Amino acid sequence: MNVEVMDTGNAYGIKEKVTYQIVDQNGKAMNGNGAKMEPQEHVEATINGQPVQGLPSGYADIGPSRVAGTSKYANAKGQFVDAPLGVTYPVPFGSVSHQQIRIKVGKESFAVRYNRIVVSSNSPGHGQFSNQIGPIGGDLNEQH
Amino acid sequence: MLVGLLASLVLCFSISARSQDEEADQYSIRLVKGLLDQPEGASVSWLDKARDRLGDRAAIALVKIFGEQELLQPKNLHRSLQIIHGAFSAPCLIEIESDRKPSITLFVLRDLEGRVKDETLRKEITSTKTFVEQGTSASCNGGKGGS
Repeated sequence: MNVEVMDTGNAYGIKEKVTYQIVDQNGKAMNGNGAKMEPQEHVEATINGQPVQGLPSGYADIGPSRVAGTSKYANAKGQFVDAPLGVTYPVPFGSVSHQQIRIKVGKESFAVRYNRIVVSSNSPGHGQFSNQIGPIGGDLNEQH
Repeated sequence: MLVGLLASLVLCFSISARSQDEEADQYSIRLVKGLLDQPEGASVSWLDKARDRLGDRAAIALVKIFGEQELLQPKNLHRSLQIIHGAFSAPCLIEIESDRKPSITLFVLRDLEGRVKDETLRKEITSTKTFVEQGTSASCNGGKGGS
């Protein structure tokens, strides 16, 4: 797993570009054996204690997005990119998000990860990002 | 009046191959309301990704959310134009192929352009219209964006 902090200018907050490697039960990289592996997410979030309205009610594709390297399916090595990931805001804020990630292969889906993401910022151009509940395969803690 | 008529006409559009939840909100009204609910300048990555996949559906949702006069109010119009801009910022990401063609969006923008009195707002509409027209003129080769 690789985590990069994205450039968000002078906004309050932080966004990341996270590259994941899909692994099997033994920690061995999976390539799907030719089957397309589609990373999806279901997210619920609050900002300053208020629920964020309008988020997809079910699972939605993690990619593609405007960020280079993102795609609908994991690549041939079983890697995929989740970006942008985070929140920027016009004023100081704190947010908590629950992100469940699953991999869809054909008609089957496999839950692979849960991130409880806390993003906060008290000054423009800066932010802290942490996933407080121990995830499978490493943490995403960053700040700038 | 055109916008009001449009609100009725869009009911006739059908979108297939959507999940049950999405079918219940086939014009993404929940999402667009959520975007409007955020303060100007906020960027929540999951909302932004969903917005970037809307294309023409953004304009349909906005017409349904705001009444004809409400949409003409400067604050509502300004936020609506920002959402439309975002919804066409990366046309190859637009989820439903027919929504990559901005037919409803341009219809709405032309109607608003003819009715708005404020010169600054009219320029903002014209600029959004040009942005949408130029952005959607390129082909996505039938595929989705991202690499």
